[in-house]
Amino acid sequence: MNKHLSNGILRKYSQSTTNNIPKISSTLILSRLPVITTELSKFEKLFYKYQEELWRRLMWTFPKWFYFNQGTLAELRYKQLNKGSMSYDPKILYPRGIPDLKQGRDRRFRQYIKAPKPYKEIDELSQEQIKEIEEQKLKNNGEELINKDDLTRKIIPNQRVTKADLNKDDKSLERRLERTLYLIIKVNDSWILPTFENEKNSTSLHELAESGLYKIGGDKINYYNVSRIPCHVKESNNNKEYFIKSHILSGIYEPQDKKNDYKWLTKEELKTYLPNFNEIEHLFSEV
Amino acid sequence: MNSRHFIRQFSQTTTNLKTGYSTVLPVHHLVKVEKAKLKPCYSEVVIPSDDIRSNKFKPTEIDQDRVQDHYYNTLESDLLLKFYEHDSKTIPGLKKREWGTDSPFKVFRKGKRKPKGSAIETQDIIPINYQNIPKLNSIVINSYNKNALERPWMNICTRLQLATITNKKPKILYNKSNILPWKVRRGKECGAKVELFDREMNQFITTLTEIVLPRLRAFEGIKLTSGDTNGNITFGLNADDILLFPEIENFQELYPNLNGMDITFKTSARTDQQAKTLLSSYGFPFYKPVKNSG
Amino acid sequence: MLNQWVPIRNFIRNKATIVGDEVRLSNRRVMKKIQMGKARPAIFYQFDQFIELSDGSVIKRKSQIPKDELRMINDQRNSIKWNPHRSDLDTSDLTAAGKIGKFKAKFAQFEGEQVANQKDSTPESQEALRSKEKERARQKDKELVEMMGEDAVEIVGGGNLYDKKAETKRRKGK
Repeated sequence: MNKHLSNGILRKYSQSTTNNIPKISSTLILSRLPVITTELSKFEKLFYKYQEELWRRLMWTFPKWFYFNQGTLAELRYKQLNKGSMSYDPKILYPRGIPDLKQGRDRRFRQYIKAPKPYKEIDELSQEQIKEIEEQKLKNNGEELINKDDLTRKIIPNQRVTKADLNKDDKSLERRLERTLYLIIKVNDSWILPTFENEKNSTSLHELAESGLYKIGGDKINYYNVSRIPCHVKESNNNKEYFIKSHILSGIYEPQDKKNDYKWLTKEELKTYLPNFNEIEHLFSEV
Repeated sequence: MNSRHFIRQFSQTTTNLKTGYSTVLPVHHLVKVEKAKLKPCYSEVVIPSDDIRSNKFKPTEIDQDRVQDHYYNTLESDLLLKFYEHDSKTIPGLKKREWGTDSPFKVFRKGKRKPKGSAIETQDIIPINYQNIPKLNSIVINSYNKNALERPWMNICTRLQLATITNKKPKILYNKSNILPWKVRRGKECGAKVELFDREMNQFITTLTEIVLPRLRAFEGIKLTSGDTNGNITFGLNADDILLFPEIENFQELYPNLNGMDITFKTSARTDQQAKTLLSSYGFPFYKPVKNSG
Repeated sequence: MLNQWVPIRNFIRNKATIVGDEVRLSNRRVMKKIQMGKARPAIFYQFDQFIELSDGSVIKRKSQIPKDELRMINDQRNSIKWNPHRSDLDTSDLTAAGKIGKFKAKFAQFEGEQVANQKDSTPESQEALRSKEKERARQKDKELVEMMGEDAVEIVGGGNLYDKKAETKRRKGK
């Protein structure tokens, strides 16, 4: 065994050196991290709902007297929103259990408080005001008119589905906000992760990847290189391909050569594009 | 082998009657048993607190946790790559030494000698692999209120302040020693502390990094010199800074006596450098303090 | 007036009143001792709160205050500390026209490089000067890093100030 090994080394030295220097290239896994929270499965939703209701059941009574001074306008508004439960009256029969009232809260149940808001909600508006809003809606193509400068307007979480999703725009960084996206480029009619050959034979791997990225994608990219250590190596006939991991933080990828096509894709979508997907599947995030 | 045999003599009984446990192997009853809890009426007490039948049960997984998701989806693998070193070996920490036997005085010394070049022991630095990626274990918020020494009701304000910020009931701090010029007396209330885990911890992190710290005018970041060499990072906020927490900012008149607090991040990292990298990935900036030459 | 008899109310804590065949206590809170193992965890009432940050993103959190919607004007999304690449948030240049700029103009002769007079300097020339200064500082840093090698990490250790108490303690310990 030992002899065989030493023979191998001897043979290696006897060969001409030019053939033996491995060709090093660095491949960039440039990812865009998720921007919003992941969509929960039905089971997860139900689990969290159950746990939250248990938690609400064990919750203490809301200290109304601490936040709302008696006789103030704020207290009046709070009282309008939160009607107290009926207190126990011995003259009345309670077929569904006797109310157990403490500090205006029925202790048999969970407590849900409506917090006063700076704007009026739909159920607080009069018939005329609702009519007015609906007329405005009709004028504005079915969308509610929102005054963007009004600091007291209602907070509505943004849409999880963006314009890029609707248009099926693979080149946009604003698609699939809940998933990690990876950059792939088209070279010689095949899709690959951006790969850069080491021509000067001097730079380090991450610098090679950086200069290569700016060369093909322009310098309007603000990106973060995770580590100088490559996360994967692919060896084949004297070629060493090192994988460098980095995240795009801001900016835009603009192909310098207009012929070069590119795409931002999730893990599942990469499967159909990359020929060697099975080898590097573990490098991509499930989320 | 370990058992010692003594013949009971009237002249000497101390060794036989000494308290302690048997040294005959196997040694039983090393776990302290609270006999009071064995009464049938206390059967509820024995149920572990994470069991739904227990009175102590507090549901923890009540909502989706975006910070935790971010850690498991992105940070964990990034940190592994960041800290990974090829062929790295465990760097042994400084440990306490034996006194040696070359002098009769040394033989009878109690305890071990302090480690070379340090007053305290330090941890072994283990190479990072997929099993020991640094993680934030908990956050301890400690608020020492010296005004509470003279006016005990001031401590109520401190406890309320911590409770509203963290959504968790704080514990009271008591003085440990008597220092009369400072009016410090043993057993007096002198502040509050609270330790946050999981969702409460993660929400506190996002409140700090997204809302409170960016609005502090003089805030440069956490000092790079911070840390206890074992991967725990501490920084402080003063009373004016606490006004920027959304809970307090919107009801300022309810909190007339605010008190500053120290925030300690307890991480599983073995070195401060790793702990700081972990914290900066959560969005805490760091800065290098200018050395004071004067 | 004085002859009038005024009843004096006796205050008895938690005085029981009997209504029908039911005994009622006053609603004044009496601290009851909680038996071992009977205590429930302390969970404060919490609202689901939406906070809209300055860039329009909305985050959800749990809060005890009765406000379930908050809108921030300043936060992480428009702070220069958290967004160093955004030049539109940078306000550090304001100092150049302020005190430091004036000082430099006054004492330029003591420095190596001439600083243009404040009066006849245009914003463009000031900008060029500033970028030159920045470039020089960056170059200096780069040289230092190159000298130390690839993976150089600056060691930051705060020097300990002389502590009289600690010193005496140390001596006594010896």
